[in-house]
Amino acid sequence: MKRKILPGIILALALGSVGVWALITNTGSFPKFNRYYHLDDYLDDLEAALSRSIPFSDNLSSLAIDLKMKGGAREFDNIFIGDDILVEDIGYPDEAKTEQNIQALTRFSENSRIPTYVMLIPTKCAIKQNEVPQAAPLFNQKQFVEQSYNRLLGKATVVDVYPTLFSKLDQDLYYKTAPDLTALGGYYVYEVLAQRLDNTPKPQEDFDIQYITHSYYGKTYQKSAYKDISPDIIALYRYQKNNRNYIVTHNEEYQYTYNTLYPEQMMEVGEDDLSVLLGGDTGDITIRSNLKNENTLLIVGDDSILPVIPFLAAHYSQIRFIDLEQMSAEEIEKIDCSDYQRMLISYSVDTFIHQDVVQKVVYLNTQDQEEMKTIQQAVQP
Amino acid sequence: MLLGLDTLTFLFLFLPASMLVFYLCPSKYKNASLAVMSLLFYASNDWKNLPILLLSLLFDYLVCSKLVRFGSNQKGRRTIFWSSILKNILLMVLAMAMMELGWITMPLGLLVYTVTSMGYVIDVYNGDERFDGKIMDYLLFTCFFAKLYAGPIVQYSQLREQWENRDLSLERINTGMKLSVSGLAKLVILAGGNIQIQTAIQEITPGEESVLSVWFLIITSTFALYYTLTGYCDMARGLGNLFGMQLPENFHYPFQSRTVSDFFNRFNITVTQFINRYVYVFLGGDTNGVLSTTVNTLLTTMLMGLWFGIRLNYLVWGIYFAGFILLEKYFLMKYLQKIPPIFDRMYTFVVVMFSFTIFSGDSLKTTGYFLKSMFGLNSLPIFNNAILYILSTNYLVILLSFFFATSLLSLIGKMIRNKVSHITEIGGTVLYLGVFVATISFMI
Repeated sequence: MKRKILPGIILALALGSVGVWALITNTGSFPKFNRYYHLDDYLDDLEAALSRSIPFSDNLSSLAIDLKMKGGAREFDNIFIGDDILVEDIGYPDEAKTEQNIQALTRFSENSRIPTYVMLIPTKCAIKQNEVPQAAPLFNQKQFVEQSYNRLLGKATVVDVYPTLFSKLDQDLYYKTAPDLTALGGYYVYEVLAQRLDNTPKPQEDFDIQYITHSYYGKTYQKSAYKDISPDIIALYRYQKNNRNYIVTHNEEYQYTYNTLYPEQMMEVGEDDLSVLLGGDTGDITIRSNLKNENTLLIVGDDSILPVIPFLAAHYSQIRFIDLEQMSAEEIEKIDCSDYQRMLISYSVDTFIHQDVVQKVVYLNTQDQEEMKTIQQAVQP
Repeated sequence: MLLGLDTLTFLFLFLPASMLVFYLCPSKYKNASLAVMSLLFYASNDWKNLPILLLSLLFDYLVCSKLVRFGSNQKGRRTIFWSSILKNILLMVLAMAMMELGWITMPLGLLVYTVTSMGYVIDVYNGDERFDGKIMDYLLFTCFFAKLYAGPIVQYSQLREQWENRDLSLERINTGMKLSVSGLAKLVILAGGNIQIQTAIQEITPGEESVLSVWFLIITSTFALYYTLTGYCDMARGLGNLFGMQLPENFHYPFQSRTVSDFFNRFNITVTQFINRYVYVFLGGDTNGVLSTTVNTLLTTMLMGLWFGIRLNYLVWGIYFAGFILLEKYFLMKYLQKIPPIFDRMYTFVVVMFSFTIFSGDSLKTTGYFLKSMFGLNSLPIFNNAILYILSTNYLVILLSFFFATSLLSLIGKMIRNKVSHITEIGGTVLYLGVFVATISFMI
């Protein structure tokens, strides 16, 4: 009888050892059942923990990706696998949010008393189309940007960077493993933007290039199941002429200050290595330079504009960047836009078509309180 | 699915624990241990509906014991017999109707355990089955965890004979492992892959539809259903073997049937047999003339459709098949028998594939839209980028789905086995191990 049941017991032990191995080696990551735990949630969490802890889970995960790629797949969890590059598919717009964003922007621009510029930065999948599988159904960002700009005509000055970026699609405009613009991509956006802002763009030769890391893996890489990608290089462009000095202050109240545009210590303590850009997006950053002019610029936007700001800093005595997502309505109302000569509203197309943060611009103070209240009532985010 | 057969928790924790409990239990408690594990499995997945399962099955168990006790008291026997039948039919109809109305999700395995139990009550009533009063054996027979999802429907006598001479040999374990692995692979890779393609096609924006996208929506819906059902059934059979039970085959390459009648002999076999045995034959089958045969066939195929839910489309799906079965019976069969096998298989495949325009639609209007689109009558382009992208990035799943729907692999395996049997055995084991690892990788 003992011999009869041996094969079954061996099989049970073989299968069970996999589960037990996962449990023992990763005890901490397994959910502990208690009376507050809903059974459904517990089993879901247990399955997820097993999936992470099973022996050779990383190798198995890579195997699944390889097999799926052999079967033709080139996209996993909305990330296209290009030739040593990951390209996030931003998908199609949330129609309602997008329309409200455009309306908020239109109303704000109409009533703004300082010259207002609007820039929508196309994402990697719109520019690096050579890295996206043929026939992949992508949202037409070029057409969207053009249509949005048409609605803003006469109300704000629009900055179209799509043609410039698309004409240079073979260059490293975006990080391979992150959705952000590289310093080079930031420079090309700056070239177009500076002209629209009535500045003469500085030539590339005026900037010293410093490579601070050759092993950067960005946010897209962290999200991607496909890992066979070489790391990115982070380059910093420093404007070295005229002994230019900068003081970067985060959140004026806290007075967190750096004497450089690129505080390298933030690579260690920041969200990721890209925190080296101005110290990361903390929601409110002011850059003051020793430039003796009265040029000031207020930038309202998301972190997609951060790679461009170090270049713009060469032209302004003061630039303030505010990320409305990280601010309450009361905090936004305290900002007096009329302290600045010009104002740039800059969002990535991804943020613009999926989030309603843009609608918070109505809280910005550009004119009389009475007028402002009328606008806020008309466009409530 | 919480503790589904296709979860890591089941494969690496629940299954080995169940096997250890089962194998280490003395013989006379083995069934009881497995029945308890099955109830535990049920509770983990659907604890709210566990009382329904227990009450329903215990009621039928008591009915069976009363049927035996009443002996020759025909009136008493008939009364309690019909009370059980009525209870089971009501339970199924109510559950399906409430599910269709969106009031509840279908309780796990309700159709399987109700139909299994109902068949047992009928057999005991007719004297075709012996009631032995072993409640744990009865619970295991009705709600063995592996067959709760999609069957197969078994008869008590089939299992009782096996329990009396339980086979837990290496050969049986080997067969069980292979069936389980093939079922898991069908579920995870083929059914999962087809569901993904189907979802991608359904998510194509309205203006981007094409004739090809509608064709592939039907094809992938068909494969998604087929591989889900056959995956669960293969796993049930495989897991049954691991516990010394040989469960009947429920699908036998239905897409290479030579006639539509043959399709029903290969598709959801145990359910077809159940309906044939307890409905078709009970009503007289085809022995009472054309009208009676027509009505009986219609009723049988309609019930086959309603097995999947109370919906007009499923009913029409059944009627559609009844039409072809009758057409074959009275007209087409003589021609089908004369033409080369490839043509009658093509005829059946086309008939079956088109039946899924009815099955996949949530209304007859949708079915009409599918049919018109498939024949280019909806002014849709033949193809476009949207469908080409989906097909080019999923071609292997589609090709494998076609391949494994045929018996080609089995034929190739037999050919090799006949020539080099010992290498085939080792090669086969390595192949199954590879498939198992690949399938697990898809589940991570």
